[in-house]
Amino acid sequence: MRIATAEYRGPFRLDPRTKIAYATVVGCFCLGLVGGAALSTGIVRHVLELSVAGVLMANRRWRLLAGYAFAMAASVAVEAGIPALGFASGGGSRGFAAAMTGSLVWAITTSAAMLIQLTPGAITAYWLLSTTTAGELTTALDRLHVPRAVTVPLAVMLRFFPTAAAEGRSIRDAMRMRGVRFGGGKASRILEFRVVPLVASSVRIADDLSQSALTRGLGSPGPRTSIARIGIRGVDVAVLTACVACLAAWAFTAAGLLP
Amino acid sequence: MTEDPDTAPDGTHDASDTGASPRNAETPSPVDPFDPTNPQDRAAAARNHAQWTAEAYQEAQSSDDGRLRMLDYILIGVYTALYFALIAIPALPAHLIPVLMPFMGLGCGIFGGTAYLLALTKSRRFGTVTIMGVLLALLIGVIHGNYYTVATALAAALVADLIARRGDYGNRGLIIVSAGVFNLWTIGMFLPFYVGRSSYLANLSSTKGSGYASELASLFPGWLLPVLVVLNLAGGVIGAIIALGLFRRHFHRAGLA
Repeated sequence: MRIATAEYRGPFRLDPRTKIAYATVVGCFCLGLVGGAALSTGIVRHVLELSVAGVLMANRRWRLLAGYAFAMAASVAVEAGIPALGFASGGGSRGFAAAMTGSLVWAITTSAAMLIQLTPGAITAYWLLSTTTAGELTTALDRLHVPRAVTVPLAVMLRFFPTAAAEGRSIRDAMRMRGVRFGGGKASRILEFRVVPLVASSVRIADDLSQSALTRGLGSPGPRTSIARIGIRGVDVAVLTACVACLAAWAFTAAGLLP
Repeated sequence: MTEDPDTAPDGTHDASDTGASPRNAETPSPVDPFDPTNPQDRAAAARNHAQWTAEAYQEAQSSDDGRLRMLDYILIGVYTALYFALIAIPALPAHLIPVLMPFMGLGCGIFGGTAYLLALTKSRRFGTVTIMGVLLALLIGVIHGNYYTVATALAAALVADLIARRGDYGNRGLIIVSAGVFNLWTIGMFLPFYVGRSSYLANLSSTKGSGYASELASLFPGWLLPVLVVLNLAGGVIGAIIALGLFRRHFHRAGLA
């Protein structure tokens, strides 16, 4: 999981603030479903879903693009195909087999609907996090005048999630060597053996992180300097204008000016 | 050889000395800490400088006026990440199996209590829990797109912080109560069923199918809201008690909490 480590330097390099704005717009339309079922916002939503694919192509993330395309295509196919094949959603009273297929169909339909809602926003957020280094992100948030009380914990969270995942995996392996498996004992005992070492290692990691932060001078007041190259360029202006256009379309639809 | 009164026997005056030594001047010139003119002043200035930097470092470390310091920001970051990791354990089944959804608050409270108590007891300042609530609101708002959760997370975190501050972050009973109140943020995830119920259900049925919408509507009748509040409070309290037990059994001995 390459979060906050890679930096993309091609011609379509966007300022982190632009990336945040774009991810917010995609999230609002695809996940938050603003604008409801109106026609214009539906068109904007589909345009945004396609634009995510375009962004992935511009950044040359082919495997991510393939996964995104597959997820969206499968969800659309399931949503269109299941009513067409005549399955009723929801369990029926026609017997156990029918009820089982009914609830299975319901589970598949629900998963497909949730995938369509979650995938564009999730892929955009992952793209945002994996093409922005931690320093770039922190500097962009500083320029947006976000208080340090929010940016420092966010940066620490970004840094900590992969570490916690790795710790969890090594704890799982260590416990498995001692015979603490998921099927082999009381549930509370299993959880205690998995959770307590994770918490203990996180306490130690917190101490290490605070020492390294103080060594790097983060404890002193005053503005920080950074070597991150941040600035609004032509590509940023284009993307920001498109985001504003999407939001304007939503506003006009809400005001009743667009269908 | 005549004795020059301005030349000290140890020869510390060099050719650039104009003769106006500190002992002859009417107003004493201030001792420049980076270049005093005699070894005693130089040694004293060096000690002052070292002490000044040590004091500045201590000041930066522990601002006793109660403001949050860098250590607190890092604690907030680490324990919020840990909180998310811990509440993902009950949240995943609760989202996949709709019957378990009303119990999501209970599960989140039980599992997340450890991270919450760690942040509270290690920081012991006002603002730690509040900023945890801000980050919670931000991230859950981004993940779920639910506006009510933003409001409930901010409100619950602020009230929990104020409650814990009453006992100066050391009173065990108040800490347990504040953990219960903090857990009330999960109510925001279910508030759409109660505020603007019909429009939310219509939206849900248009996106996820009418079967899903009607099943969820039957799971959340009107009388369930106070029950949810009680469940959340109980979950937070149980989580805090479990966490305090874990502290006593494991962390105090290791010196970690």
